[in-house]
Amino acid sequence: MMLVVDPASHVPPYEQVRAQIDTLVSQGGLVPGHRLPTVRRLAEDLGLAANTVARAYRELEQNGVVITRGRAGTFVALRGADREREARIAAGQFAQRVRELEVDPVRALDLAREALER
Amino acid sequence: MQATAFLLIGFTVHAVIMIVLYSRGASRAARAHRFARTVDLALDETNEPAVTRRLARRERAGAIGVIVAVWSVAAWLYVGTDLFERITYAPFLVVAAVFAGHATGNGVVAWRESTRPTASAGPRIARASTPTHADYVPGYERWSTWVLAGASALLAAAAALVDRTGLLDLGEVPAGLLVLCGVVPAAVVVVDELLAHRLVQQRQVATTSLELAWDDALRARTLRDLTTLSLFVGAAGPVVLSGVISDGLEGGWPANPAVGVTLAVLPIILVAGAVMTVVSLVSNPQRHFRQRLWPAPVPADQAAQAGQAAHR
Repeated sequence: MMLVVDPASHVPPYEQVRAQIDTLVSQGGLVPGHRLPTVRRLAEDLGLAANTVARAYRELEQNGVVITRGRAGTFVALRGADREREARIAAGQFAQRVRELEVDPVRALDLAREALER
Repeated sequence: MQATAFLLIGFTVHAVIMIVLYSRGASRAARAHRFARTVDLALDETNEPAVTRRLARRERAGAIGVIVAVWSVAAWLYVGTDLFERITYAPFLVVAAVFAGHATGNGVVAWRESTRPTASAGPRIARASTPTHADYVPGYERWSTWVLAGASALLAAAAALVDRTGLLDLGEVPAGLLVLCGVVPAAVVVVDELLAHRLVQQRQVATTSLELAWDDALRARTLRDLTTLSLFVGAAGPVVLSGVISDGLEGGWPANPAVGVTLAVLPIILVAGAVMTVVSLVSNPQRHFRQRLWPAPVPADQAAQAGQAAHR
């Protein structure tokens, strides 16, 4: 997945970066959990000021497209349909494990509710 | 001594030939095209001059590194003593110097190139992810460096233990060599990993996907050069240690079990080397970065298309 910045464009560079990442995420090119390059690395690769990339990342974070986990980096966030899909997968895995353990489904749901309320 | 002198002269002549070949236009273009076929990347009139120049710069620097390294080793071996005569395993030092010199020359150019300025006009391209060392060097090569370094350290520790307990009569075991074989291969792997990590973190300046793919190709070549040095040092450690111990032993197998044990090391290393060679031939490690970073054919004008999209 590539990002391209054209300095000759009338669109500000930060907006070019923001829009492309947003598009890649919404089209599924960048999946939830994907780690984006660091601000410094992306700025150096694209020949931009670090503040420019930082602004793009900040706006993406405000829109819920990415999430910053401190020093671990910036990751594509789970949102909307992604969240629903991931939760469905987790629920499927839970159900599978419950069947393997031969736990009563009612009891399993109680345990799940307890875990969620913790 | 003759083998060492032969290697010194042979590697020097080879390095000089490389410098000459990579200085002549037609010859270096032919070599660039051969490399392009190896990594399966397009080399057209738009990118050929830059790629050829970059490849030639690296190979010339690598060759100069080889000359400096092997003659530094030669000078060290000759320094006013009969050391040259006494070191039976000097050829290993010379070959290690070749790998180290080539990797250093190549690495210095790679580092300098990563600091070159960005194109002032036109679109610039970057990856939406950060590549890692594993994207450039196959896992089996990287793991082999640790396995060999571990084997060397283990053998050194075992030799020290056997010598100390008197389980087998190993004759006179040089303590310095035990320390060298135990520490140096591991230290080389650690330095290789650290340098590789720093180099991978360096920026990649490109205006098209093809240019970025070529940067990856050259970067992978440099990183694999570093790994080759680690592999060689890791393999040389057990061979030299067992060889030195074996040289000091008296009698033969099975009367002296230590002879059998030390002589078994060389075939094991040779078999491991042969397996590694076969795996390399089958898996084509030069194209490893293609599988990891460029699984699909690389478009030459992606930046131009995306640049138009950015305008809209």
